[in-house]
Amino acid sequence: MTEQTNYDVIIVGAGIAGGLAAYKLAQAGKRVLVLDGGPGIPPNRGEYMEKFYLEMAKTPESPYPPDTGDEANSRPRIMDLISWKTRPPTGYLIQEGPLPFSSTYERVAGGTTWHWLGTSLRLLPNDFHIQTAYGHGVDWPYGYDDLQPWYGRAEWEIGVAAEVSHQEYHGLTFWDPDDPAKPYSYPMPEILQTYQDQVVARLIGDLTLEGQQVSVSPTPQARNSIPFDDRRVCAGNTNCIPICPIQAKYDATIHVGKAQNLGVEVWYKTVAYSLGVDNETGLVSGVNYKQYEDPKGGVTNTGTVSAPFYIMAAHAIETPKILLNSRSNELPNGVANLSDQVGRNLMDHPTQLSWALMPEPVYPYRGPLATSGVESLRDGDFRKEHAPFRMEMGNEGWNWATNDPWGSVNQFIGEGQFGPALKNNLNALLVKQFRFGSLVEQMPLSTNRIVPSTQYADALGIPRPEITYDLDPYTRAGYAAARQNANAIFAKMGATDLTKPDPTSSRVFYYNDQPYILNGAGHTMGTYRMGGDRKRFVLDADQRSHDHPNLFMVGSGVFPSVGTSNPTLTIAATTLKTVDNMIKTVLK
Amino acid sequence: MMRFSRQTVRAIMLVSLACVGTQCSQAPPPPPANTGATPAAGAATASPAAQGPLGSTLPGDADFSDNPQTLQALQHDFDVFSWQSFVALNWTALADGSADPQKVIGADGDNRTVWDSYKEPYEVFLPDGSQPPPWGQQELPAQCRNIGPADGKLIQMTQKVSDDVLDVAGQPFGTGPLVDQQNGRYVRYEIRINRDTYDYIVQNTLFNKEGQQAFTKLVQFPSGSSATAQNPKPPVGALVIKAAWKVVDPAQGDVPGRFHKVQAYVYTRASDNPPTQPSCELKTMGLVGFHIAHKTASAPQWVWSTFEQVDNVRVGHDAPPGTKANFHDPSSKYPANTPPPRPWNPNVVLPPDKRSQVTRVIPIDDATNALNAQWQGWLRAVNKDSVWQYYELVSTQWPTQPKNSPTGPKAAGEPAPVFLANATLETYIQGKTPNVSSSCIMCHNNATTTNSKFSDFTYLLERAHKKGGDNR
Amino acid sequence: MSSNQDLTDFVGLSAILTGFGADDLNPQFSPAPVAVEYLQTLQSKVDAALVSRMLSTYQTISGLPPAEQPAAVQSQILADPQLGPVARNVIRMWYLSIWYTDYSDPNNPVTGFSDGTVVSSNAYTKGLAWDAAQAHPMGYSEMHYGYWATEPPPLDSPDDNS
Repeated sequence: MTEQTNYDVIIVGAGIAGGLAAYKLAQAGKRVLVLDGGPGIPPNRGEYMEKFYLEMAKTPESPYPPDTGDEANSRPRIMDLISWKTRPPTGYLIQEGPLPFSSTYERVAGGTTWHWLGTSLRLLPNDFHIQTAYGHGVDWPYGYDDLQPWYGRAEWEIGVAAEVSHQEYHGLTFWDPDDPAKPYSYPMPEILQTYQDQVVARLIGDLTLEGQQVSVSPTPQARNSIPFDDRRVCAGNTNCIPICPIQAKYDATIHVGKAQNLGVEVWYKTVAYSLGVDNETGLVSGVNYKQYEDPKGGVTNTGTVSAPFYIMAAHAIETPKILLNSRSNELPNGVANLSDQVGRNLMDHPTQLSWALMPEPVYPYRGPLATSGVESLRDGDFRKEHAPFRMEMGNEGWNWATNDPWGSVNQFIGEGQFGPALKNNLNALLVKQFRFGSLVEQMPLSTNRIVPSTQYADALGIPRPEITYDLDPYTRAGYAAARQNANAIFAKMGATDLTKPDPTSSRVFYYNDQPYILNGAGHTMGTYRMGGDRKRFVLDADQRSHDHPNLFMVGSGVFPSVGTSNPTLTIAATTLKTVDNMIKTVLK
Repeated sequence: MMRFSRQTVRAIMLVSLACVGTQCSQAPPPPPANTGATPAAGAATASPAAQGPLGSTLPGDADFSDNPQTLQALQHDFDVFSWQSFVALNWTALADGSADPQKVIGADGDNRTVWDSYKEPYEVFLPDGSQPPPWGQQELPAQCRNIGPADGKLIQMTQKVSDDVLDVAGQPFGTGPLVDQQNGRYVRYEIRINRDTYDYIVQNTLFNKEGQQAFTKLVQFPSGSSATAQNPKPPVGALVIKAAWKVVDPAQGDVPGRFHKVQAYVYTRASDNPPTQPSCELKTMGLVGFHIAHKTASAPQWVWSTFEQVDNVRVGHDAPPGTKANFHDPSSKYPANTPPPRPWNPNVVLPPDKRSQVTRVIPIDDATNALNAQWQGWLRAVNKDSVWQYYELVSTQWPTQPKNSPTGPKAAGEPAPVFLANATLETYIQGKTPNVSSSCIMCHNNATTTNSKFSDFTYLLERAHKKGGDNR
Repeated sequence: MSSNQDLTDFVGLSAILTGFGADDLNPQFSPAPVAVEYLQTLQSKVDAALVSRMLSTYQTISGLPPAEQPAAVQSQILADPQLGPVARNVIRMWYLSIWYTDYSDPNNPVTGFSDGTVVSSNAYTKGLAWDAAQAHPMGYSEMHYGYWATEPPPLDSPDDNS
């Protein structure tokens, strides 16, 4: 039964895109309902932190519910990747390969920003037209200058710490969002770089790779370098992923709460599973949802809610799942899918890990998880030949690479070490650990796609996502180049490369007969892209469905191509731009 | 290694701790002779013998002269220090704010308190960053003028935890408001600092951003210390009070005789999230929560004492029939220790089914309960109608490793107890999870100045503005 | 049930096994002594007679001159076919706050991915591996903004009361 409501807009998803959209719409006086599939914002983060402390594997999703793949609000987990080929599947995703999609996300209020790193880089000007500039990928329907003001507003909204003069590379320019004649400044001063960052920069010295001068840049981060927005200053708990214990890092619960303070209603444990369409008008007519109390139990209530406008903000895997699960006789491809592009072009930033023993102590495991990166190879003529990448400098030693300190501690004790020798040998190793995580731009492939499974459903009977995924040769070439360039930097620094791709890994792939291990960056992108051509793209440049004029979508699924910047800031900027346009046009 | 200096000056009060709970307050043990909180106390207070250990002199540090030194014995010493401080701070005040040597605490049932004349942060961190007015002057917000006496008390805040990081222009909302059962009104909070704290801020120009920028040393507030024969009048040291107040209205079932009460301006600042109109009402407010943070020689991480009115989470001792707990209703279905639904607008009166349902996650331990019964008995002995007998110490948090470097890896100094929460001030962060659940020292260890320097366990310095005012 | 003597012996043995001082492992006045948690874990997971033999062996060793004790712990405990695996699991527990489940099979050595239980959240915050790294447990730091921009205090700084 369809409930009569007075809402102007219904938003599906209470993550950063849905949270910001709800907040901005409410500020403009609009009545908003948000549906979210997960539990609400907890009164404090004690339960999540306690779970984190007690988990053996401290993966990005370890603090959060649920623990199995078939519950009401299930989502992928890193541990599922070990046996991704097993049937019936042990994890939430049905992975069809040939490679497993290796990123995870959260389905709780606040979404994946609970476990994001906080890196808030802008896309580069050339990222918006890589097809034109380099003959690869897909151009955006607009350029950097069009998004620039929205980047600035997004940075002030979520709170980003950075210094403009350190970010003006590869053609990036900054100006006041409200007045192009005025200079711009970030809301907070730059986060101090780690001791490690300083040593690495010194040891690299003067180095040119692929025609680019290599330099270490402080990373813009959505974490507090000064008291900001009623939240504490970062204390360097070195735990941005999976959870900041003191909320010095921005997460979307902040905007969900602010939206609720403005009267936005949020229904938690309410899982949208399809959209209805009025076949006369072509307008979306309602969101069909199921509710639950116990994630392992069944459905406690079902319903449909309606409003004049809808915004899908459910994540780049869940949003296409819902659209494709909305098939009808009239719309056999599902909703918003006359183009047959919904769910296709699934992308990530495949991450090449390179790790080394430094020639001198750098004292990792301290500070925010990443405070600097080598951004030099994000752009350049080499993009005609291989994918670009940014080289994130981890502040957590070999934690991601080899599960240290757990790995080395067990190895040393197993060798019989004890007493002061054990302590001193561990010290000598741990303080010199360093790694690059090179985030490679992945090219869109229409065969990389998510569809609702016809075989497997969650506890509510909703189809689970089935994923086909691979890396194209250009992306693989970028991955290989990331490895080579990391090695060149290690050599210049006098560091010993210890990168060992395990050929027996469930995530191994090859390029020029060399093995590489696929790592996900957690950056799920590209499954409902925007562009002018309605045959090739799901959304227009205003992020409005080409097929249904009252349906909008936000999130990283809209990215036509993904560049090398971590997507959250671009999600925020494109969401603010979209919602502002909605307020000025359709909701006027 | 001996971590606490011993004192031999003071006789130790060891009264039988066998009686607990209501029995004690009905039949208090005979108060021992007043040895005073410090040797100076006897001189400062011309006190009737009947007041027992009750003294008006604020102790500069805890007294560790009882043996052996164990975790339990040291906890007891700090708990006694807490009660001595509570009594001295709430001592009957003269017009100038100083303790009245003629009037024992609660002699008239209730009384104006010494700490009532301490400074509030808004009086120190002025919007234009200018030098704060001298100790002893108060300015009322425009909304509060002409509705009552000019020297009335002003209470503004609606949430404590987030107020730690709140400046005058900021949003007062973080973990959620607390709403009383009787009136459905938001609990209000105030912070007050003593003279030593105020002087340190003013003398070092830490009241504006420029001054903080120019201050290159480690922020180190002065420490109190115990009186000795050589130094009979040592400094009190930095002391910060946080108080929680609820509306007290007999028509709604409140029992006024169980609260320390003030007539206060309840001021709500204008806000756009949630949309809130500024307002100011003159109300009778009753004290329900009381934190004392005191930096002492034995505790560079400060000593954190926290008291509550006895009826907060259950009906306390000697309550007349029909008394209801302030923040707990056994028949309510509202989930425990969960903030009310948003929007959080302090001007709104919440319906009964949305009022706060608070439980104490970590119970008050037996030794503290026994000590409470003892001090409540002494307070009752002064006057059987004393409101002060209806307060209890929850616990005192102190560093077991006080010498740890403030810039080292264990700066918090291993606080005992590990977790401590006041049900009215840390309602929603009670628990036992490290780095999240309420621990005074662990949380305040994150406090900084406006330019991110460690600010010595107080968030107050975050409130400083630029000279001439902040502009984005 | 653990006696005070058991705790003293356990802490003394643990100091030799871990390379950290007894005062670091069980600081005076500790409000949440992790040594007590670890001893209880040991006694709940391992046959009582074996634990008792390990502690009494150490008690005898503790009578030797301090300089001779590590070698005696090596030969009489770590090299013992029954006591050795238990003692190594005790070292793992101190460093990683984990009691590993299958610790005595030489063909299946414990690795960072082996099965086990984190003793408690309190224990996690006191893992010695983080002290050995001159760092802090990921998720639990008592240091202040910007500490990461300079070198840490030396490995054996006086505040190492873990």
